[in-house]
Amino acid sequence: MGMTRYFFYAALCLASIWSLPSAGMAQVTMEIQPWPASHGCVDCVPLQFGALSMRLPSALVGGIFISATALAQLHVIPAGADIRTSLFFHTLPSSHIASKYRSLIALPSDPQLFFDRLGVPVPASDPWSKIRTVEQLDKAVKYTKSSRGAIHVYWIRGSLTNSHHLYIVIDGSPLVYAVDGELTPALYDAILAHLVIAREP
Amino acid sequence: MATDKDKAEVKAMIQSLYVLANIPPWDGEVNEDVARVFGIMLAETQKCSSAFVWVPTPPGGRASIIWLISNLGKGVFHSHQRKLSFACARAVIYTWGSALEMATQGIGMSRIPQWA
Repeated sequence: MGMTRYFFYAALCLASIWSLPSAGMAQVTMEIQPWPASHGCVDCVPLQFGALSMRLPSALVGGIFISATALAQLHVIPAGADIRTSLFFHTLPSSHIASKYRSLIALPSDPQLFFDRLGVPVPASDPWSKIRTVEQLDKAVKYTKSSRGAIHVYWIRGSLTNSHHLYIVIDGSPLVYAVDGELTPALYDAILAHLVIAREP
Repeated sequence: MATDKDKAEVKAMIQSLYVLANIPPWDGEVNEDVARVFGIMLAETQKCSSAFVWVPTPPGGRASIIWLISNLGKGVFHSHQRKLSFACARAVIYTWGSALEMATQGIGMSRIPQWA
């Protein structure tokens, strides 16, 4: 499956490069980024959201807000910030990641294939151009992927406040975890450094 | 038939919600699918706020531009929006923002959002 995915992605990259106009294009391309190293985490806050178990340095976290309403919400508020620049954690059904675009494209239901393909620049006439617009790739300054074992994390870095989108894909999971809001590189590293999959208690 | 003025008023409502949530303003074109998704977003706020609980279910569970203007126009939306929490507005936008963008891009949705 890994080699299949590699060749699929490589073929898409080549096809896109050949079909792109040579000038005036500054589209974001997915970059592979190493998984952040895990250091000692003595003064850390253990936090589990669904199957995601994290340990966040208390120096980076100003507060955690969990709504008591019917709409499940977890907001992690960075130190020195308020709810208006929180990180909003939620989930999406894995099967809907690509299938919601079925009027434009046909892709297997594996969300990793979708997010890999999303990082390939395309000409405006390509149906993926609209998908990249919806997914905010056209406004992004960077798009990265980091993997460790069964966990794959995609980060769409917007240029404006609160325009960051993180998608955490777990092989075989029925859910994709999404984190939206204001995300600094330090907080990104902190979320990933000690991220493991855990059973819900 | 919705006029350009009606569309502009609906756009102002949507953008106002984004401003409240401190999320970069949505700047798409308003069409009937956008109105439908925005109606769902208002219904979703009812799960985390009482600001719009009084809003009736639209005919067929599908909001339209005219329906939004009739029920929430002339400043009604803005006055009730003040009761909405930041957290609720952010949750609804981050959950439904891509559906709104799909609607303005004219992308047919395989799963049509339903009024809560």
